[in-house]
This record gives sequence, structure tokens and C-alpha cells, in this order.
Amino acid sequence: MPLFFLLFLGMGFDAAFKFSNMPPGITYIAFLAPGIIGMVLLFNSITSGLSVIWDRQFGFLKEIMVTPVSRVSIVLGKTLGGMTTALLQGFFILLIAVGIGFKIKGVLGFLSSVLCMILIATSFVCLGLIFASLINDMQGFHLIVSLFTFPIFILSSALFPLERLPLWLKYLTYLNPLTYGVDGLRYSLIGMAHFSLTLDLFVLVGFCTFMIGLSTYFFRSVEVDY
Amino acid sequence: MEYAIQIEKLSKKFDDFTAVSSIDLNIEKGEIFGLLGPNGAGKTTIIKMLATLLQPTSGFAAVWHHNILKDPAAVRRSIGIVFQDPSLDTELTGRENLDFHARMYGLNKEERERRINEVLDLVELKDRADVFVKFYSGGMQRRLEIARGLMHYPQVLFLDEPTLGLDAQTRRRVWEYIKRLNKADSLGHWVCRSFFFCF
Repeated sequence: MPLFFLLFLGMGFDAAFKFSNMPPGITYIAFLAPGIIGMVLLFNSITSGLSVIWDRQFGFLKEIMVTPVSRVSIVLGKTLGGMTTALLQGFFILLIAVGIGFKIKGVLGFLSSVLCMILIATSFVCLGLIFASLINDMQGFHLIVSLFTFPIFILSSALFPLERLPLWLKYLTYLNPLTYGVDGLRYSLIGMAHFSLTLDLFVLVGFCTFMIGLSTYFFRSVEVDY
Repeated sequence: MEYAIQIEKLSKKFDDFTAVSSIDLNIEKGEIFGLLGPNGAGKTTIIKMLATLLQPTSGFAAVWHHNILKDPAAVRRSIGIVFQDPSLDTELTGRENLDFHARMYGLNKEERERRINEVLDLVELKDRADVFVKFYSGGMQRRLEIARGLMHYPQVLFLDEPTLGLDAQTRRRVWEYIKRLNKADSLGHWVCRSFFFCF
């Protein structure tokens, strides 16, 4: 699905209109690619919370919860696992984007984009874990996740530049952590940014730390039914 | 204090429903203790509270001198548990299940390998150790779970309906294992000191 987004949305919009405030030399596909990477990271990270619900349903979660392992390390373990798969998917999209002519700014840009990807993935895996510790059934989890992911994705500047949005919409996107993630990715990969990379990373690190803390808090209160 | 488990006025309420109402109980070390009751009597709820999976509404309990409310990590370290229904990862082999468990309890590599073979011997699963758990029969899964509960040298082993769904023959075998476990071996090592059952 992200592939279709990138290819067809990208090519379609590219052909249909020109965004008047794009810097010269940047096509819509180039603008879109970091956004789609952000989207892939968001979707995959958040749904990785599903593994907790699976574990709960198969009874494996209680086996983990009775061990003396600290709850923080359980959360970190789940996070690193979810982050790894999300990251691989992100790289996959990047690879395809490069395949269809996307140009990365440089080695340094690539490295800082990896950093952004890690931060985005970790934050949203934690959000998924929080949902998973509050919701017991799979249907409910999917419902809540889609309720959250779409607004986060649409309001993240993944699809369109922020410059000319109406003011209220702009402020709404400023509240969205993924906006900073996508912005950081975009700056790293094509050198175009709404904020500065420093601000992006600052917000991302802050949000990520906060989410790890919050998900540990929620995970601690998980009581295992069996 | 020579009690393995101490329970004082322990209660658990689920909203308006009182599952466990102010029980008092002391179980001595080395004892095999069986808790009997009809379905829904609250036996499993008691085990869950003792295993720190569930917070009691009021009251106090200590397992191997560790307060379940103040020091849950120490309680978790001193107990082993065999749950009512399977909690094995069926996509792993028997050996891998045990290895994962041992890692969670921080046993080092050497100790893990030695201990896995020991407990597999004990429940007579050595020849099936490298088969995926999804191909195990119900009795074999149960035995593997008992083996897993014993991996980390627990002081108290909780067994919640360990013979549920097993045929008479396997049931008897499980009891034999447990009796064997409750004796010190020739060197004076205990396999496990205390047992707490539910039926």
C-alpha cells in the first residue's frame, strides 16, 4: 500500500499540478518520499503493539509477566523488536524511492534520516504498546489504532507542504509529533524543511522519551487474565 | 518465620463481585498444599495474587518472606508457576521454550544448558526436546510446563489445575513427578521446597 501511495499518488499529483511554493528542482515525488517513509514507520510501529495482544491471547504474556524481569526491560524489548521491523520497512521504501530516481542529499543526511526513523519508530511502537495494555481484544485494537493513525498521518505534512495551510490547520499539525519526524526526514534526505533539523530532533527525542516512560507506566499496571 | 506462604485477610473484589473474601492461611516450608473448591471459588484468583499478576483489594500476603505488594520482583524470583491453561510458545521447540525462560531469569549460558537437560530428564522429554511444541500432546505440554516452572530453582512451585484435561495415566505420572520433586536428593538438594496446588 505505501508503495502505491508513493508511486501513483506521487506521479499523479506531479502530473496534475505544480505546488507553487516548491523550491526549484524538487518534484512532488521527492517531496512525498520522506512523507511515505514516515507513514510506513507510523503504521508498522503502532500495529506492532498487536504482538502484546497475541501474547495475551495465547497465554504467553503471563509467562513473561511472572518473571522477575523489570517492566522497563519488557517494554524496551518489545520496542526494539517493533522498531526493527518498522525500520526495515522504512529502508525498503527508501530503496524503492531511490530506484525511481529519488536523490539523497549525502551521507550525513542519510545518517540523520536514520536517526529520525529510529525516533519515529520507537515513539509510535510505545503508543501501540499503550493501546495494547489498555485494550484486550484485537478488533478494539484495530479500531483505536486506525482512529489515531489516519489523523496523525494526514496532519503530518507527509502529503503536502505546511506553508500555505490555513492558520488553524497549521497549528494542528504543529501539535503532531510526526510532523517533526517527517520534517526531519525531509530535511535530511532532500534538504527541504519547515522547521530546523535541531528543532525536529529536539521534539522527537523529547516525545520518544516521554512515550517510553508512559508506556512503561501503563505496562506496569497490566493485570494478566487467564 | 518458617512459613513458605503467609496470607492475612487477603481479599479481591472485581467491581461489586467479591472473588476472594478475607482469607487467612499459613503454609509451612516443605509442605505440599492443595487448595480445593468448586468452579469459581476463587482459587485461581488467590494464585494470581500470590504470583503478583493481580493486585489484591485489601489484605497482605508474603511468599518466601517477600511481601507481594512491596517487593514483587523478589516474589517473582522465588516462585515457579504452572498455569491452568497452556502458556508455551508453540512456534518454538521444547528446548527453546526452556531456554527463553532461563534467559528471562538471568541464568548464564553454561547453567542454562545444564539445567535444561536436568529438567528435561526429570519430566522425561529429552528425546522430544527439539520438536516444535505445537506437535506435542497435551500431556507432554503439561510436563514441559512443569519443567519450565522448575528451571530457575524456585522455592515455591504453584500449580493451577496441573492435571486438567489429562488422561488418568498421565495424571498419575504427573503426581509421581511431583512427589519425586518434593524429596531432597542424595546430596540433600531440594528440587523445590514447597508446592501449592489448586483443583
